[in-house]
Amino acid sequence: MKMNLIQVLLVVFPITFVIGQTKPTVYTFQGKFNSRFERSDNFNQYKGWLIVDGDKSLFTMKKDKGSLISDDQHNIDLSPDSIFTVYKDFESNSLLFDFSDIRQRTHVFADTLFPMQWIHHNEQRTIGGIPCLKAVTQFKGRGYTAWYAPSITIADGPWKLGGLPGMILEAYDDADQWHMTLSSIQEGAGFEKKHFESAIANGVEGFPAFASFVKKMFDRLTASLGTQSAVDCVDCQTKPRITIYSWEKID
Amino acid sequence: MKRMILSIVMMLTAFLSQAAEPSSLERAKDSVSRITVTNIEHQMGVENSVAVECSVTMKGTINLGPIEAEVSCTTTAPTCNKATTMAVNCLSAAVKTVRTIMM
Repeated sequence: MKMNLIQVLLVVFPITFVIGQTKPTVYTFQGKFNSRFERSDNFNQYKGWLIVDGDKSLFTMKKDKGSLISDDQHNIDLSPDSIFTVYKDFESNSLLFDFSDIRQRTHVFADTLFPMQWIHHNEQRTIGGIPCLKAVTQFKGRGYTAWYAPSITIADGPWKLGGLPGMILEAYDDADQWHMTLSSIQEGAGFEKKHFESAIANGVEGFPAFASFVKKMFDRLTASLGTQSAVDCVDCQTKPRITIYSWEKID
Repeated sequence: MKRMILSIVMMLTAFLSQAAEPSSLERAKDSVSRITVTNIEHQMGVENSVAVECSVTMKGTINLGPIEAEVSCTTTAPTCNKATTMAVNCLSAAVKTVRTIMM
């Protein structure tokens, strides 16, 4: 009798465990991003993935094949393979994001999880057959519109956006320089969390530290460029100047 | 008769000598073309020697994804040719520095 009970428990426990676990869901987005922002057009097509695994999620976006390469004699494309990479941990209320420097080394910084104040609108539309509602917000110097699905009760979305009563299925900024629209929802494999978990455990610096890091990096570069002068022209002189343009307001 | 022949010879000599001289119109045309040439040479000389401010800006970018840095080189020189050459050299040097750093 005792043996039977143990056998039953051995069978029932793994089944209960498997049922209790929700499989990671991959929300795939299609969209665009203009790396020159409003200054001129350098749009590329991007694919984005938001992998929701329990109370953690990872968003990243990559250039689609066939995109234009902007690297030439005077324009250097050092953008990493994946951009707008954001890790969210709802349990610890953390948001981490990646930044790749001039040496193409990746740095992790923290930011506030969903600080944006959303204004809800009455407009409705469906995205991929899912009814959505409209909300708008201002975040780090830009206005954003989000279309969220109240039927998907996950307060997440592409990039740093989220905090709405439903998953964001489409998001874009007011100038339409960045635009992500849901293309599919599928069950999928999880993602590697160790990189971010160890960063949280070791302590991650916040957004002001990121802003300071970026400024210092370009200050050092400016200093190394130096002044150019011509041997055959005493009056001629030129000094290179670096101007930083950031998607998120950093000053 | 002798006197008549002498006067014809003198008239012929005078006519021939007159015909050999360039006309005043031709002389004017020649001087105009010389002046023009001189003017062009003079203008070229002016461009290279008189201080005329010419400013040229060349721009390049370093794209890091959500951050883009614009490198600009503004050069002021007495001639536009000089300013352009210097601005191009400045930008090329800046790009070379960035490429060295990223290696």
